[in-house]
Amino acid sequence: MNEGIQQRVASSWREGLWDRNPALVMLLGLCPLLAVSNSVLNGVALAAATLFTLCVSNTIVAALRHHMASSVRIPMAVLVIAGTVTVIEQLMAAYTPSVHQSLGIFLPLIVTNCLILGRAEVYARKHRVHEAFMDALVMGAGFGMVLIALGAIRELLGQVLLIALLPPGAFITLGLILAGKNAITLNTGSKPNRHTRPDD
Amino acid sequence: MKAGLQLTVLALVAVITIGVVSAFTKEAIEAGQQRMLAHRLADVVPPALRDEDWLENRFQFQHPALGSEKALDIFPVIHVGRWNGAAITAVVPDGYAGHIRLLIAIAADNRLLGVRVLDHRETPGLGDDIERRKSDWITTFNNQSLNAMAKPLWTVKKDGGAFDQFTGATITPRAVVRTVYRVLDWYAQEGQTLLRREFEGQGPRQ
Repeated sequence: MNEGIQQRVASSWREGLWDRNPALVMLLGLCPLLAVSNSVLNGVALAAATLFTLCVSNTIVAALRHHMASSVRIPMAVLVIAGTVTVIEQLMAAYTPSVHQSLGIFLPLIVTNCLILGRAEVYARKHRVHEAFMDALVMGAGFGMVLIALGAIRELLGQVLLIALLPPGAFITLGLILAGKNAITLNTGSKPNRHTRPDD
Repeated sequence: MKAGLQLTVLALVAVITIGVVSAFTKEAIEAGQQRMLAHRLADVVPPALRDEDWLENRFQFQHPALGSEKALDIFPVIHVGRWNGAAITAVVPDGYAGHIRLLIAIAADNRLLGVRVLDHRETPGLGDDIERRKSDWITTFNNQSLNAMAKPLWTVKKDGGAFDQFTGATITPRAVVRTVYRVLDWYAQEGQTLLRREFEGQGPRQ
């Protein structure tokens, strides 16, 4: 691997996990993020399912990018995403029924996670398969990282503070994480969040 | 034209993929559901009332009072040949988001042994307090009966009944209470007799 590629890979990880983290900067997929993050296990399960869906959908959308007429590209992307989620849901119901139960409605709702359709629309349909796959990995990892961190913090705090486990706890904890991230970003002189747009 | 073709082909591929996965996972999903059901059943029917292998008494039964046009599972609660009641699966047709499947265990004296939710699609954080692992609400049915509580009380407090509604979700608990009442009433009127006859008509089991 030459240095150029290594640098590109490192910078795309930096983007997904930090600079343009889908959950902390683009604020995408907040509904599952806030609702399912009351325990680490739920966080891990939903993070894995989202990551997997994103990888499959980005890959397929990128592979089909020359065969998607612009009038039907969004329906096609939705079809790919919905199909993938349905398959994952069936597999989880079959092999991890208790996780499937505790994720409940949020598993099928991955279809509506705008992070996934967003990446298909702004990235995958304009890039080659391996680039789209890489993008899915880093974006999915960035989202999953926040989901798991939020789950861990809330589960820990929940031992002493019940509110951490309740819906307000999700908003407050995410707010604190966002504030912390912004503080670090500002102090290290990177550009602040408000200038970062998901479609640039 | 080209766009339509592309969309059609993709839809076909998606349908085939999902069909294959569905056929492949069907057995495992059913086995998981049976395990879950056995767990819930053991939860509502006390061990003293039932034989070790009482789940093998299962038979299918169809009645409008159970809320479905399909035959549903009935588990007669038998202990050394004695009929101690039945655990009935029933459908709540009027929940907030689709059907809710309930397990309703009723003793021979028409008293509720307990109720559990088997599956539902109610709103997380609002309607899902009907789940035992989310709240104790469903246990308010324990030991209730039509004798102990008059008909007007079989609804949520908002409607003058005896059951708590949830903050932000009245439809779900109201519908669950209504179905439990309907099944209990049916069981007391004629259901118990019908079920016993049906069960005994099937002859002794291995």
